[in-house]
Amino acid sequence: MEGKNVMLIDDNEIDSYVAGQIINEIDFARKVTNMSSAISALEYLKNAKVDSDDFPDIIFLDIRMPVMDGFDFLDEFLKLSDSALTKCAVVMLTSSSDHKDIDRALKYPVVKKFLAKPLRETMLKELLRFL
Amino acid sequence: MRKDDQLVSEFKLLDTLQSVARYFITISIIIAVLVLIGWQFDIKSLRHPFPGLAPMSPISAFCFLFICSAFFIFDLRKRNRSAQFVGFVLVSAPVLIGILRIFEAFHIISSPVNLISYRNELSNYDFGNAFGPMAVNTAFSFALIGLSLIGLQLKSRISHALSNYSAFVVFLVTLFSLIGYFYKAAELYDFSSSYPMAISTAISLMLISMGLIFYNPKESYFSVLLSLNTGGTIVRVLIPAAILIPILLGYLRLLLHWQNVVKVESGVAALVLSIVVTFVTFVLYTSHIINKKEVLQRSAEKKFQGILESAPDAMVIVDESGTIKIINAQTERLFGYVRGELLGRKVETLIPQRFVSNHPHLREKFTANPKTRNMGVGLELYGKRKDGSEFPIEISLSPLQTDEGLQVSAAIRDITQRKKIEEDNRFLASIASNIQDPVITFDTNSVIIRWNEAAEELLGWKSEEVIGKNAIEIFDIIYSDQTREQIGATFAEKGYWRGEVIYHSKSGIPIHVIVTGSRLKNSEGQITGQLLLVRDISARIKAEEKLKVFEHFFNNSNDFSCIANTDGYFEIVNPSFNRVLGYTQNELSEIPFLEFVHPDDIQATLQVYDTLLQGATIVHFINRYRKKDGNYLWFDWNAVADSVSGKLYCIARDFTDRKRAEDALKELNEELEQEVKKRIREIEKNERRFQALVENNQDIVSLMDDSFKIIYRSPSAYRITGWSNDDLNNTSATINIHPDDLEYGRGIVKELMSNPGKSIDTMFRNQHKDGHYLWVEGTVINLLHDEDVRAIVFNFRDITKRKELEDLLNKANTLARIGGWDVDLVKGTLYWTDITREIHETGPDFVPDLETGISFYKEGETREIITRAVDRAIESGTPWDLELEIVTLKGNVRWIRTIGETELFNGKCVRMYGSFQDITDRKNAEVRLEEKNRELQKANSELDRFVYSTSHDLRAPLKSLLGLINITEKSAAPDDQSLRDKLKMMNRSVTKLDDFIEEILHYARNARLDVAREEIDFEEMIKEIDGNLKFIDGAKGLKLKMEIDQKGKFISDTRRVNVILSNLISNAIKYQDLTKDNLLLNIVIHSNERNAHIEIEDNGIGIEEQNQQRIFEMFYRATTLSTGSGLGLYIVKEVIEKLAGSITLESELKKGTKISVVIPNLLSTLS
Repeated sequence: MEGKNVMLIDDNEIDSYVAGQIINEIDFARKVTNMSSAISALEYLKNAKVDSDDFPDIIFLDIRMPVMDGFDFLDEFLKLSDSALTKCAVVMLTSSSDHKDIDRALKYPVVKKFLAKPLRETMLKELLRFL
Repeated sequence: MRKDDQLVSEFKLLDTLQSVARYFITISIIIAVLVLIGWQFDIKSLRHPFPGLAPMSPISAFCFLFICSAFFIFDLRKRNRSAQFVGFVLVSAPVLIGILRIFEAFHIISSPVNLISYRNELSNYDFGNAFGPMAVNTAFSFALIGLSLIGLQLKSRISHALSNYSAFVVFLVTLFSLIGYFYKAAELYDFSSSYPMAISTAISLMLISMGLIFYNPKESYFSVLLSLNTGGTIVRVLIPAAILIPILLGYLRLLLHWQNVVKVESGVAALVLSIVVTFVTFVLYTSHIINKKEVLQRSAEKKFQGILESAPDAMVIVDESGTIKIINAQTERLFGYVRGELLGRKVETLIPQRFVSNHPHLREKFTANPKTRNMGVGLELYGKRKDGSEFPIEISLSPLQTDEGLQVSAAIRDITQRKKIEEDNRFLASIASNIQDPVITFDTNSVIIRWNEAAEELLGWKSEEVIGKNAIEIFDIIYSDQTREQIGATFAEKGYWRGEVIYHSKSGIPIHVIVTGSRLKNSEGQITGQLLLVRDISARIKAEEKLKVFEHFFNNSNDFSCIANTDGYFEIVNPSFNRVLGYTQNELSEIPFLEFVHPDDIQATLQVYDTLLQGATIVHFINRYRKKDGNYLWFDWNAVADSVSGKLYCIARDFTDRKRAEDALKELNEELEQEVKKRIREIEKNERRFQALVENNQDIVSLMDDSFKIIYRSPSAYRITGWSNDDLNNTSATINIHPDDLEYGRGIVKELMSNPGKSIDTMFRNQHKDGHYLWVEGTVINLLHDEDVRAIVFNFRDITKRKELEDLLNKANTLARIGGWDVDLVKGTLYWTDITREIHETGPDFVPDLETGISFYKEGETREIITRAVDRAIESGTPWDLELEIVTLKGNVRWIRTIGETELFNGKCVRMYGSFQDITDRKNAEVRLEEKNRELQKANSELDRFVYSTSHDLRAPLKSLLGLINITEKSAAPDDQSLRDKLKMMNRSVTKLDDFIEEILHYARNARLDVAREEIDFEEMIKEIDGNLKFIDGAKGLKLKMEIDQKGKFISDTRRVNVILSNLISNAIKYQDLTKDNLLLNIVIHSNERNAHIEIEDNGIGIEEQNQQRIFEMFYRATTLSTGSGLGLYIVKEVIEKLAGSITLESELKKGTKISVVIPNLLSTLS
């Protein structure tokens, strides 16, 4: 497969920008969609067709966000179709290194990895191997 | 009897002989009368029956008449003196006639005899030569016969004997004449050649002579005629034969001669031969009979000897003069003599001196009335041995008629043993009847045979109600730990059984008893039944139950209770104490308790300790105790010292409120479960201990005389009191009484002496041989008046242990304000101890019952709870343990803890009992504590949220900045070194700030959170850390070497261990010595079930020795190269302390650093 369809969900624009830069740098993705809130991301995902190109392969998800945080999003995300859950992997990307957060996040089966900000090349390369 | 039989037989024989004599003499009279008739009426055939031979002269006929008449007169059974006289006159006539005729024949006188009677008539007849006066031998015979008859009438034995011999001479003379007639040899019957003895005269004389011999042969050799022995038989058979056979043989010989059949020589030879044959036959016959008789006799003698020797008694046979004739082996053995020493001696040899003088008199009395009987009935008889010693005997006498006269056989029995047994029996019986415990015996079919007074008292049945009934019908038994069958098996194997059971009395009340059962055997060793000794142990069981309740409290109290000794050690601490301080029981009891006290409090603690020992009660003394993890707890102490045992009873309360963590309640639950298990083990242990106590405990029975000197003690006395019988020889039993109890003792003695036969309960202290005092309890009874006992009987037991337990219980109860109560559901009574009354604030006169007891509980839900608990207990025996509120009589509201236990009988609750504790103070403290806890929990969670938000909000911008720096660096022109350097500096600065925030977060969390218990996989953990640290500068050049050896599960706090390892490893990376070519990092981890050893060694820059002391201080940085905050190692140290581990450091400047950490494995703290 040539590159991934990546979705970044983060209310912090700087972080989204930094992540986007790094992803592009190494040709990790063929498409990067930025979502500034979990609500809009969820809206998008609900409308997108799972087998279309528009549906992301990987979602980078922040935890601390206003109105709907990362965990709220995950709860809603799980309600999507089974095929959506099989197609899409979630990677947590957050400035929290609190163990409570890590443990809680990794309990969701869709969450494949927990990464601490800032995103780096090495992390992405490893992720690529992992997935 | 035999003797009598023999006598009767002899009499019969004599009777027969006398009858024969009468016939003979009657025949003589008839002959004489016929002859006289012949003379008188001139009847020739009568007068002269044998023509050619001389006839009997009339004088001879008269003589016959006289003699025979005299004989019949003498033979009369009743004869008077005149008849006797007539007899003598009659008999003297023929004697005189005989003598006169002899004198005349020898011409000494001119006899007038022939002139008398028929002289003329005689001369008228022609008798030829044959006629003449009385023949001389006839006259001689008449004289002798007359004398013989006279001799028979005289009373002397000799005259009787002479009478027999005279008659025999006459017999021989007549025999001589008759043979002459028979053989036609006139010389034999007519030796005077003129007047021969007539043949009829000879026959008559012979008959008379034989009659006289037969009439009374007792005193002469002819007595053998009467003998029933062999001799008699032989004589009676052989004598007639010995007379008749030779005569017949001789006659035969003559007959042959007269017929001229044989020659003289051969005739004589045949005669001799036949005589020899006859004699030999007689001799053989006689010898045979004698021989047979002797054999019989000898075997009879042997039998007699055998019977004598095998007799169980000593047999002594004595003759009329008291001389010992026969003894048996038993006699030798019993009296210590040899047979030869006694035979021929007087029987008085065997009698003690004091009885000797009267004995011959007694012997005579027996001989006068010889009957088989026991000697000296009702008297105590004694024998005397050769060595002079005496012994009690029993004698049975029987008369023995023997040929040697009356003898007496005495059977003597030694009754020493029997007397002793009788005495023993009386003694034992008196002990048995005075024993205070029930004693029950059964036969082999379990039918009750004996049932003593104590059994009546304890079990309620009168002996007449149960004796003869089967035990199974009577006893309703609950066996404690064995079934009836198991007990039966033990019994069969060992012959006894001892154990604890519950009996039910007649009224159904359960009674705890110890039963000792054993077999009863008779003297042959056959089992005849069983004996049960029963001991009532209800009192002890009740004390044990009280103790159990106390232990229940001790072990479950939330207060810290302990008993310490004056050596400065804890002896017993309750589980709360261990739990809170974190030490094991051993650690607490092996280390002096002062070591646990905070150094600053030792002085004060010592002072309080001293005042405590002086008898003061300590209330609210406060000090700090070190926990196992090194932290200190504040304790509030109440304590009291027991002056006797020197023990300190202490109760402490932890008021270190902050130590009550948020999960205390959860923990409490888990530990409660453990406590229950522990409690069960404790109870089991105690039960075993009490059982051992019971098994080794026995009562003492002691008998004393009127001066209280001990005359008997049961064997258990030595074991229990330590005094042996020798120790107490000749001393009064009262000397060992405790001085304080002497006054009491005197009172008892006084009561005892003035109330014989009354059983008195006592309890006092008595000194053990090793000096300490025993509490003893029992009953004492004065039986000095009882002839079988003659003693003061003291039946007591050692109750020291029970007293100590009671004292301990009282002390503990008073200290902890624990009261007791007891409901008897059968009687419907409720009993309260003093403390229970105090808690209810009722006076000592208040009498509670079950209903009023419940009415003290707070109205509403509380009262419903206790009512339900009581109902359930009564219904199903369910015990309870509740903490409830009561309203005291004075109206105060109090929190109490009530524990109820039940006792069942036939599935029905008959008794409830338990404890009652005032826990108001604790309840209030708990309520306050819970409030504090809630506040703390709220503060904690708020703080947590705050820290979380703060850290995130602080760090998020930093992360963004780092990301920006990163991408800027990438997009920067490769030759713009200045920009790159600046970006690096920015990166470092931001990273440092981020690290610092993270460290503060770690610190805050470590201080606040409790240690978690999770399983740790060191290899996994190191991998994770390694992954995270890869991004640190300089991590790449490092050569990492790992050695991980994890044995079994390792339990600790994952995050804290992670903090330790991350910090140490990141330090090793940060402080590399870049001047070295070979950069090393060695990580070694060894773990086992106790702990984990972690070594992290690098060859980095190292730490100067002078700085090594300070590197664990907060904010201290040991090198100018440091980029850190100075918090890292401080946090490591804090975390290790929290985990109760240790850390050591070896370092040398420019060489490298090795850090060793030990972390305990918390595996053992998991349940």
